[in-house]
Amino acid sequence: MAAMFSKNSTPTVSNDAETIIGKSVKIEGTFNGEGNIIVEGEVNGNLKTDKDLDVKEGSKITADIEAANMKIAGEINGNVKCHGNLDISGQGKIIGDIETKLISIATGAVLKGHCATNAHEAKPKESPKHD
Amino acid sequence: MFFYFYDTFINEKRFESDLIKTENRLIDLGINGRIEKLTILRNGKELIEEAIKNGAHTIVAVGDDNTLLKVINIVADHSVAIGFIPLRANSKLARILGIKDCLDACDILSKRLVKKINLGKANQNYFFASISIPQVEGIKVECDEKYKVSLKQKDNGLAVYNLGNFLDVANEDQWKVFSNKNYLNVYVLPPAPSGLSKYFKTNNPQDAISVFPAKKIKISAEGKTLSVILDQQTTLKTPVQVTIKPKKINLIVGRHRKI
Repeated sequence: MAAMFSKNSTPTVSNDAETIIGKSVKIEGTFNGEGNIIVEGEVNGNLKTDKDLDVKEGSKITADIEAANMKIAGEINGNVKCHGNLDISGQGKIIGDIETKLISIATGAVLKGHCATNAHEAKPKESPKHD
Repeated sequence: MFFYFYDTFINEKRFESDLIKTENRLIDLGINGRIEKLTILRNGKELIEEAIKNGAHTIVAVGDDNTLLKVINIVADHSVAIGFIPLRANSKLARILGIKDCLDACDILSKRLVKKINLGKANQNYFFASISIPQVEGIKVECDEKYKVSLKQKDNGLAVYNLGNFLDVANEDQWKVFSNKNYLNVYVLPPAPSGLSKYFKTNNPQDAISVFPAKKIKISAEGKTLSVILDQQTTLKTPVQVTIKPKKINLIVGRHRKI
């Protein structure tokens, strides 16, 4: 399955999500996904996927979350671990610590917690080649 | 040996012509075999199991979608191939398997392209395409023994898809057909439109859809029993334990199949 977010540009949402937690649904427990996840409803517990996570406006997550790339426009109470790009939109709210490779925060976003980025550590410079 | 399992309704006069053409075609192709007709006095399970015991390697359901679903449920625990000759023009399973009509079905049987297909299992019953639960008030859904799904609206629908929704939905444009993945898809569906909302689109129905992949699903209800319908054919009562059985049957399919 193709990644939900483009690697080189602002994340865009595609329709290839394997999991959609819709507005009329509440999830409680440990959700470990292998595909892309879209959250529009409520999640309590833990949420983890190897692929991308799109948290829509109006959604509420009370859980630690982990994903390859994330786009956050909802409310998160919990720690966030992102292995790629974390994009927090103006409606996004995160109360918890953030660990990510790259981050983009829009005006109006709310963050309460520590934030650590490690883009440079994750991308070591190649040593120059000697002929 | 081919074993042809004829459903009860094909004794009707209107199927006579198609049946004669089919039998002649099978003879021409050299794949004719033993024929047993289901009657109210003869148990289909016993007939098919006896045929397998006597060396049948291919069980062919001759009839309609219900005939094939019956055969699949009986044959699922045996390692023989399953074929299908549809005698009704509106067979959904024929379209899914890439079979145009009864004569095309004979050619497909002869070519014998066999595909291993996953089945779902709900308690002791197998299902081919889907489970639907029309009333969800008080329902409890637990997936993979790890998380619980609660529905906020009592008028939502719930479905579990193995191969798709084609048995539940009349309009072919709205069919969802899933490839043979090793998990089931749990769908929370929006309420069916009623009253004026049938005519005025107030919101996007996609907004209310939820989808969860799961291998093991427990469906129960608090203080009551709910109906769980398998392939629009068999009704069970909650609690129901649903699992996926990968590559459970060997199905003979056409080149233009959808699965």
